[in-house]
Amino acid sequence: MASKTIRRMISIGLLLIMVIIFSISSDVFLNFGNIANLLKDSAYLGLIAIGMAFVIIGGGVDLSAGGMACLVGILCVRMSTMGLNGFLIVLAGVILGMLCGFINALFVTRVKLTEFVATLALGFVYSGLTLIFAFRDDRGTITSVAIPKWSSLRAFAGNVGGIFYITIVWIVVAVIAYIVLTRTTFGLHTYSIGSHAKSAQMSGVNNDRIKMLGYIICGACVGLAVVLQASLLGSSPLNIGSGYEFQAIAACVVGGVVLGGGKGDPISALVGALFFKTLMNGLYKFGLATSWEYILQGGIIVVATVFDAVFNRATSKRLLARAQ
Amino acid sequence: MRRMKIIAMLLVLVMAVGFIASCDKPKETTNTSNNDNTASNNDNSAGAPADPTASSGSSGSTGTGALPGGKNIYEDPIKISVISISTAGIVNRMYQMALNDQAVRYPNVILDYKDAEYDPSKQVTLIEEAITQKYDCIILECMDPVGVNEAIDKAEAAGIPVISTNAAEPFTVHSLHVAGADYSSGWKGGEELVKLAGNEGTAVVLDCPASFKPGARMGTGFEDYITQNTNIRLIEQIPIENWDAAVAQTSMRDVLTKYGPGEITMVYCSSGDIANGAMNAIDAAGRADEGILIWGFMGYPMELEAIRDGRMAGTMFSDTYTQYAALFYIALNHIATGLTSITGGYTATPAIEQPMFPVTKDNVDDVMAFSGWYMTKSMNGK
Repeated sequence: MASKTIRRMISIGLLLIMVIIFSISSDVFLNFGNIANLLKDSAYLGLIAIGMAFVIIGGGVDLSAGGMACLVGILCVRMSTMGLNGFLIVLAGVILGMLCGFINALFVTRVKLTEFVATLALGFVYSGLTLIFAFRDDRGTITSVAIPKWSSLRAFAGNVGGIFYITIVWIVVAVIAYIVLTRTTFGLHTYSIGSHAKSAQMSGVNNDRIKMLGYIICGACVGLAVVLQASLLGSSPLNIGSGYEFQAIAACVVGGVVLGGGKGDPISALVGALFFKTLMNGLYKFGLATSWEYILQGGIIVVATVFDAVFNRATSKRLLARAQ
Repeated sequence: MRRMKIIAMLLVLVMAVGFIASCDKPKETTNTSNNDNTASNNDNSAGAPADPTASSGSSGSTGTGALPGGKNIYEDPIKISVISISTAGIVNRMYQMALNDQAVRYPNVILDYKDAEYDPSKQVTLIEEAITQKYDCIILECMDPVGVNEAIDKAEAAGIPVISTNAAEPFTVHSLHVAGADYSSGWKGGEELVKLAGNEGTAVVLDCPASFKPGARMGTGFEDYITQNTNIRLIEQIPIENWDAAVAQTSMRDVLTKYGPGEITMVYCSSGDIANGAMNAIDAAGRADEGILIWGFMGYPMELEAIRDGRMAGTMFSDTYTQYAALFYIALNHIATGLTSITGGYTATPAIEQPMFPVTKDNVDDVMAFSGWYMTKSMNGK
């Protein structure tokens, strides 16, 4: 069996074990409402994680995702108050996200800043712009404004048979992203620059172009995630995306996307986000202190990273042995 | 391959043991917090001037049982979800202590403290979680007055009263809002500072985080008073991320670098932690003798001690302990009567605005005397 399949099965297996344990130990875990809410919560993080997977697999990282989400969110709510059609707002959210991703990519590929510094700095810039575009009252004080009741953007908070639209979008995007990464030349090139950028370049891959596309896709996912989340919340609080860049990275890592690049796929990010949110959802049932939430999240990231390192070493050895 | 299998098995085992251990946790505690100050429940009564256990009579002796649509608050198992913006800091310690102290009388009541970690989406998740788990009441320290509305509506529709407290008041109609008078306390702080400094000079505002501005309006109150009624020049208005003392200290340090001796008359701080950071920056810069007037908010122990020692000009005092102790009984009343905004037919959220009063060197000893026991306890974390 391919090592990728084994790794995926382990992630899904752990997720299933967790679900079984929570289902047995709590009488409210395995009910439809809870599962629908769990999937809805996972979708917001999961969509950002899918975008992040493109960047990480390509050997980069995007620390601006949180600030980007805050900016796109507030702009979309502004559009809703202007009476723009809901579909157009969603589209605008995606385009704005892509624009932010493009700016990130410019700083990485043209200005040649390291990805960590460029995206960290731009994250701050996006957060600052969020405050500039924030709603203010007559005296100039920041205030919160809801998406108007009449806005068609609110329709995106709906559900089909209890499953929220954002969940459906998440799964569809994950499948499309999987196909893009595993069945297209762009996907192949993303893996190749993530595995060994120099070799990829020498093989004729346009590294900068591939990186740029990765950031743009990441931005699109963030934009889509936040506009759907804003429709669910009925507004876009100024910190709607704060901290989600790290959660998304953590989801990717736990799902099996290797931080160094070249390994993993969007389904790994999906599983990782679901894993984290299932863990949190389950823990809420038992009234554990927040301190334990942090400890468990951190512990799981460490265990997943160590496991990946051991697993990858073992896989390499196995392949080497087979080659000999 | 075999090695991988062993590792996978080990991981599964560790996870399983971890979760099973986690699942046992609530059984160890009955009616208390699951946070660091859980112990305060049991050792409080001796320290309190009015021992809640002693003064109550026996539990259940005065009740008439549940009213129609409500629960028997003395006998029925009751779960209250307390969802805060963050469980860090002294304000959290104080309100958990206040709630836990009251819960001593009701062994059937479970208080479940939840931390939204400054994440509005997580706060919504926690409200929905309380609905899923059929909690009897939600006490909510709201982060954004709009973002939680849908979740609050769902809770009220499910018969769970939502009582919001402090920070932002949700715009949607719900069971009750209890809070300090933010705006007017900022205004009053301005009045008091002008009394001390005169009508001229400069002011720095170390305000709440920008994302909290829709709800936390003490800084706005201060600014409005200063700009509308005095010749004092507002030279800096800085939002302090996460209300954090260290961030406040850094910001104040930068302000001190920018403005030389005698160029800053007063500093208005939107929380006790922020005031603490400002004081530390002034001390560290060796400018404590300049007479920069610092004004705080809430009147937490460190603020009162600083006022007594002459490091701060004053603060607005809010009796957080009493506020949350009262909230506990208000929550029980809602549970006993089945009162929600829906059953009550509310068209607007009833609100209790807790008065705040200024504390300066003149009355700080009196304030410390009446609030001393719980102040000391919250400071010591006992």
